[in-house]
Amino acid sequence: MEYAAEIERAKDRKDVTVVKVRGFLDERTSLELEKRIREEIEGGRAKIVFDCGDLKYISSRGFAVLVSLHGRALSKGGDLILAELKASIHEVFTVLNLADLFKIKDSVSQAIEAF
Amino acid sequence: MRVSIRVKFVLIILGLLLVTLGVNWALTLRRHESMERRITARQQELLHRELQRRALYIFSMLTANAESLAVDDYLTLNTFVRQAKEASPDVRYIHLVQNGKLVVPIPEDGVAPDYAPVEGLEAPDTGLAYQDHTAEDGEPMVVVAGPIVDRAANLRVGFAYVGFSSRKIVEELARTQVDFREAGARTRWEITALALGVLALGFVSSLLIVPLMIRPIRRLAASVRRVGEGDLEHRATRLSNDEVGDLADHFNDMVVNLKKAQEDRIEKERMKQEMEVAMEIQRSLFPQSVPKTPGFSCGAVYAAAREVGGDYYDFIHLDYDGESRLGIVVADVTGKGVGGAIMMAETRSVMRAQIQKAGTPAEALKLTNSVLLPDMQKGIMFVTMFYGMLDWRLARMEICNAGHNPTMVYRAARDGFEKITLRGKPLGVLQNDEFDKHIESAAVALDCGDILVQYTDGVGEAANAKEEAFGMDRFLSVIRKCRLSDAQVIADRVLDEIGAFAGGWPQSDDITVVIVKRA
Repeated sequence: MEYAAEIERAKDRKDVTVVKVRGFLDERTSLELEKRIREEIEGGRAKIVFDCGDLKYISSRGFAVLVSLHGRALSKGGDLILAELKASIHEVFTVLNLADLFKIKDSVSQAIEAF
Repeated sequence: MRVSIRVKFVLIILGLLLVTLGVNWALTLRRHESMERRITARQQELLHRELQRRALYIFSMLTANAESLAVDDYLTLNTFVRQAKEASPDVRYIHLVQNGKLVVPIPEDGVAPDYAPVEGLEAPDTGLAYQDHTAEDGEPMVVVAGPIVDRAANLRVGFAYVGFSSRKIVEELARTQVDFREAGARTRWEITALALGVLALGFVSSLLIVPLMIRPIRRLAASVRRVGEGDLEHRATRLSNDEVGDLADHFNDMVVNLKKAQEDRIEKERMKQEMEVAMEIQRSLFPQSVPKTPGFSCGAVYAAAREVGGDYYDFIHLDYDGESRLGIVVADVTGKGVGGAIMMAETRSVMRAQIQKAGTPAEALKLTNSVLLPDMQKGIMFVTMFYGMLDWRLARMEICNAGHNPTMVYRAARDGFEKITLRGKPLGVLQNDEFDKHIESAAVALDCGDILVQYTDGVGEAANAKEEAFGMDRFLSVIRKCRLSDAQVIADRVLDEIGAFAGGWPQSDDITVVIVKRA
């Protein structure tokens, strides 16, 4: 299963971290990603934009990771905003009734502006 | 037939030596023959030349005395001939012939007889002619014939026939030949003896060396036997720095890998056994039978994607002030496998404990969330859950949903499905007050023939080799098709249809279906 994640500072907003995930967020990869983003948040960079544009699949564990990171970011005075969510993934959020927990933006730039 | 390396080695050496010997014999024989021929020819030529020289000398002396012959002074010539014969014992005779008559040696009766030269020999007018001949007494001869010329008068005055005995020459030649043959034979026998010596040496050394050479092989064979008998700790010793040594190294590598493979296999076997135990334990957590409720039939199926899973369902008998109710739980714990199974077991225990305290399904979920939340947050997990409480007397079910798939109800009256979506977040995500704010419940009245269907997302997501999803439409059409059957039959049928659709394609998520049907 292909999987890659880039964690970078936003160009104009150095206080915002953009996480771009490609491919599959399954049991294994979502825990790996959780660790990386958690380190960002613990390091004081709690403003996270999660770019889902190239995310093909997200398992329930992946959702659990997002929920957990979201809670962490909030507790550190930041937030975890989802951007470019595909319909299929949005639908799962809806079924889980978790969509309204998150701020969801159409584009990464909109998500960055939201901070 | 088993032939040891030692025997093979000896046989090979033996064969090689025999071939060498044979070739040597053949070559020396041929060379000796040709050498013998050449030497004989050369010697013959030398002897012939010597004969020629002596004949020329005799003829030149005769020519010097040609005058005497011209004047028929035979006595002088007779003396010369006698002296010449005495000087050279191998000159048997010198015959001087004039006009076909033998004139010297002078006949005793004085009458010169007709001369008959040896057969085939005719004196030439110039030069000398040679003829091999055997005398009557068996003496081998060479007869030389030629003219006697008076140089002063330039006149041929007669012919001379000189008979040389060639016995010495022949004997000399024969002796040379014999000597040569003897030398040849001696050489051959010497070579043979040498070869036999080498052969014996080879044999002895093969007896001594081969065991030395095959010793590493024997040791390696012993190591192979030992490992074969199960001693995987044993290692072969590298005894020789050659191919056998390499083989020993490869063998040791093989044993290491074999040991590792065996350990892996044992480990896998152990894991498998433990998984089987876990599976047994988890299976025991599921209801062993579906409850019998007056006016209702219940059915349930569960298929884990792996040995153990995170889905679960439960039927719980409740007693509210003497009034009996049936609690029905369908839940999906984040994650599959052992992790999911552990959380499933915890969720089940907590849920079972809280249900008894709670008066309503919403309350039961709230209590459960408050207990589960810390553990779920630590484990980065959550649980989605449907909980329904069936009051079979009133044919009514109060349902509640914590982020779980919507409930589907088949309405017999209009032959269609009703989808009941309730707000409510998954368990283990939000703090109590937040969670409680969202939770929502609904009362579902069930008429005769109505079927309440609760499931997990594994049903809709079940895929086949073409990566098509089973989907809700197929799922609901299966239920509609079996709407007249008993609840358990419907549930079983759903699982069968999913299996047929997947066609052996591996299941990616746990599948749970619970059916409650009003008769």
